[in-house]
Amino acid sequence: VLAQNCFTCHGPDEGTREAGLRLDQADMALAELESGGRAVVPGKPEQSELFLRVTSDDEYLRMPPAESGHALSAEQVATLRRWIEQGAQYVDHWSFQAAVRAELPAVHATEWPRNSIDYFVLAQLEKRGIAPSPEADRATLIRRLSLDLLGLPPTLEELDRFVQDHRSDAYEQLVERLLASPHFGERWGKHWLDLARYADSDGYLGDQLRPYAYLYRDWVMNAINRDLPFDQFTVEQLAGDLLPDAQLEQKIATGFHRNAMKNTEAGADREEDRVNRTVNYVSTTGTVWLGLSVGCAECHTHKYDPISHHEFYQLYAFFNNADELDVPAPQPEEVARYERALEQWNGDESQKPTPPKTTARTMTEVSESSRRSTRIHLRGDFRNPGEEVQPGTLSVLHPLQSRRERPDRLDLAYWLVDPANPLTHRVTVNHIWKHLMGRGLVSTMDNLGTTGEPPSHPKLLDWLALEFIERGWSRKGVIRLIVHSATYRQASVVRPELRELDAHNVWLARQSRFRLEAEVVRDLALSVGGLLNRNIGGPSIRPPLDAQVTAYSRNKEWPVSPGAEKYRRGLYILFRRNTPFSMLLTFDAPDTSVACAQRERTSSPLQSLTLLNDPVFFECAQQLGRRPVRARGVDPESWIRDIFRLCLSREAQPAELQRLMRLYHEQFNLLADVSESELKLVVGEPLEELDLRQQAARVAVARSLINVHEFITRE
Amino acid sequence: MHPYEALLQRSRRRFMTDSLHGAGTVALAGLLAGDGLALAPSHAAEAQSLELRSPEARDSGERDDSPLAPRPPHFAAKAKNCIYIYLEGGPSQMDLFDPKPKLNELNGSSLPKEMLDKARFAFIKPDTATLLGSPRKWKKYGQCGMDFSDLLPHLGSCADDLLMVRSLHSEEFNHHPGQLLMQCGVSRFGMPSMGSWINYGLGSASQNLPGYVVLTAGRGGSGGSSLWQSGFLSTKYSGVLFRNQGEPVLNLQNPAGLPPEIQRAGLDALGDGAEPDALPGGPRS
Repeated sequence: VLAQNCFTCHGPDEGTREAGLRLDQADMALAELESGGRAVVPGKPEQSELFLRVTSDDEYLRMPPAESGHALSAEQVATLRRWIEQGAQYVDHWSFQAAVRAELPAVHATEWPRNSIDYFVLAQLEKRGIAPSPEADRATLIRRLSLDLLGLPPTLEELDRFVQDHRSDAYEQLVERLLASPHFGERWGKHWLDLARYADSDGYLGDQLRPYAYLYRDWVMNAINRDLPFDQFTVEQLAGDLLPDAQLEQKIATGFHRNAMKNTEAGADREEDRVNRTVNYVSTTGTVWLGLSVGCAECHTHKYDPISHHEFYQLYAFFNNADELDVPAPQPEEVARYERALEQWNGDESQKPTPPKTTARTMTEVSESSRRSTRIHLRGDFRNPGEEVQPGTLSVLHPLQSRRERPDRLDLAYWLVDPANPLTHRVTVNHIWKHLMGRGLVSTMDNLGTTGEPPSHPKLLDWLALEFIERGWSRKGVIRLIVHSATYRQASVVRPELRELDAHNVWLARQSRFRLEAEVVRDLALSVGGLLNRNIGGPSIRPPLDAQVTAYSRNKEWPVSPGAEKYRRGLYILFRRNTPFSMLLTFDAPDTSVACAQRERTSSPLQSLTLLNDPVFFECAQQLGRRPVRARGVDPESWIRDIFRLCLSREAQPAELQRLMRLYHEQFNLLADVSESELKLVVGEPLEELDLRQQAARVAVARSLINVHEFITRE
Repeated sequence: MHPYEALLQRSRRRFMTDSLHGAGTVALAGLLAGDGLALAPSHAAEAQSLELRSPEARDSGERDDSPLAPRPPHFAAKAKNCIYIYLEGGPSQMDLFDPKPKLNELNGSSLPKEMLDKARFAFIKPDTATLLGSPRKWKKYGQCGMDFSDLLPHLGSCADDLLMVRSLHSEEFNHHPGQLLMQCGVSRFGMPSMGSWINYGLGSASQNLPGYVVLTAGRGGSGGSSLWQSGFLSTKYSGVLFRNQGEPVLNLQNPAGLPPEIQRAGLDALGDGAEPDALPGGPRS
């Protein structure tokens, strides 16, 4: 109550503190004020100025003042009264306290839980008299798991095999197969790349391409596929270059902060831009690992959380001597090609093969002689330096263990993944939970601070966080744990009573359903259209893009990737910050200027236009219209059954089948007057077995199916 | 039945068939829903309660007011519309409407010390640079005595109908940060542009057109899409770029060769969940 309503003027920031009153610390709140009174007198609300002020009838005395926009409810006032009566104990904000492993709560429906997670969830449901949902059917489960773990729909074969697999551990087997798939790293790598604000260009006016940025993306996918423990995953990205005997791969990992935008415009103030990037390193690190809006303290002490202006620049000092360094990183094929060329070289200097050019974007520490000292930037202005600061961490958290006298980035990285850090493990499992359950246990993904939402299931969050460390910081381990739970396996159907009892599904009496992410929407369509190129890794691709989208950039060339390259997964699409790929933004892909901890999920007319008319989606419909007819014959009903299952991973219900058959006949009749040349445009490549009109009707039906909401929804 | 009534009913059915289950078609139809002509008000409310929402919002069963529904301003406004024209580049203000007599006085001299101390320059080498005054002829126009150079005599004739602000000041001296400052009020990424704020605060009077439209001339602003971004506001409030050639909005036209009736039948089939012959669409229940 105090943090959200009072700290702006009576909180950590000295600059905006009113009446010398500070309510975020016990000793200050209890101390005698400038006015002689005391804000809080433990046990005595009637003598506490704080309580008198929040209950005052005098509009000049009442707090919070009307112009602050804050107001306390009667319930909040009662809470404050009770708190003072009970002794006004100050307890650290929950997320700054160490996680505690709670006993599994007792539950009545003991047959429901499959693992520990379920006890925590069920206990809360039973407390509210809500029953969990039954397990989803097999078809839903495999589609859910495939989309969640790989970002791809199951193939018809995979679907059939799983639906008919009667082994008792069929589900667990499926989970293992998916966790071991190399596409797992693509799906979960992309989640991480959102946080890493990955893009293929500098941003700003010049928006220069970063042709080798993909090496970092590949590193992330590989690291996630081999389940590099999250502590190591962290250390390599923040300070891989400082590890003893750092390998090239560990240096590539430091590309994490090289993803920050860079202003290369001629005439830009280079130092100003370096400062902006360094500030971005600090805020990003704060968001990604600590789940705190550390960046707010760039210009002044944080208004709500205990992060002082001074501390912001202590963190800044860790990065202030990190410089950019591009190191040669020849790729194996490149080297082989070069060596072959050298062997065949005729000695003519003008034809001498050029050595591999690929360079990795890494970080390095500046030499001792050119070290910069760090000063506070008053009001966030680097031209206005204040007192000098040394590298250091937030005093509200655990102490920093420094390897040497002067702490460096590697110490900071170790500090972040120190098991004593109450935030990193919670923040990370909260992210994993959100991707699998649709909503974080803390719903404000980027803010576990005092203005964030408290966790819905604090004991579960702590339990998972500790389990994460116990399992060696294994991302796959936590994912396995969650997807094995009965909580995860529930049907997503909204039972009528749940609308009343738990409109936002906070208590998890069902799975969530949500629209899939931009890249996955595209992958889905390409996948059911049989066009998807499943190659993994490597340089970014350029699928066709309307020329006017890139026209306003200085950097407008967009040579379309040849052959099947353009059908690779959405995460490989070249992301140019000034002129991002339209379809991705339309479906809420982040703009990559800052770390994105939670994507928007909007529904807009541009999305429907994309699904209906975007050439790629139309091409997928054409391909669906060509689905093999040989095995099934030319009977449209079997074809409809097939593409229905392909698109939605389930059998069509009789009414649905009937409606689609009707649509097919309607379309077929409407096509009677259409010329052959137009029919050819509609079908793309004609099939021998069907006449043009039949095939065009199929394309039209397939388009409708791609536009069904269920197609882009994960149940 | 009055033909207008018939049109209303037909439109409602159209809307229903358009809206249900087609992913964003939903929202497209939702925009139509707010239009008093297309739907009777009670129907609009019903339609809104059906769709135009994310699956989560729908599942939560909450009435989610259209994010673009018109909202009253805090103060009664005289203006009904706002056309904001941003001219990137172009002749300098000191040649058009902002005479600088002191600068003309110092024409040809080197930079005064007080400028050297404070200012930062992108390209100018302060030690050797000299000041250049404006060669334009100036005149005061209208009763208000507004300054215009000889380049803008016609604009000068409307001087008393204009409000001129000459006190804008920027510390940004690079294109992109300067453009962001102009559009978003802050020279950093991730902040909403002015149009996004207006759309967010006031909604849109027309629910069947995007509330915030961006037109570009020639190549357009070099800062790209960040200049009409919605920043930390929902992407619903982003500017919709209208193109200056071909179809105004990307993917507005049916794919080549596909007659409109086919499009129509396909959309109709996306159906209404309440109709027994609808396509699934939906999230299963």
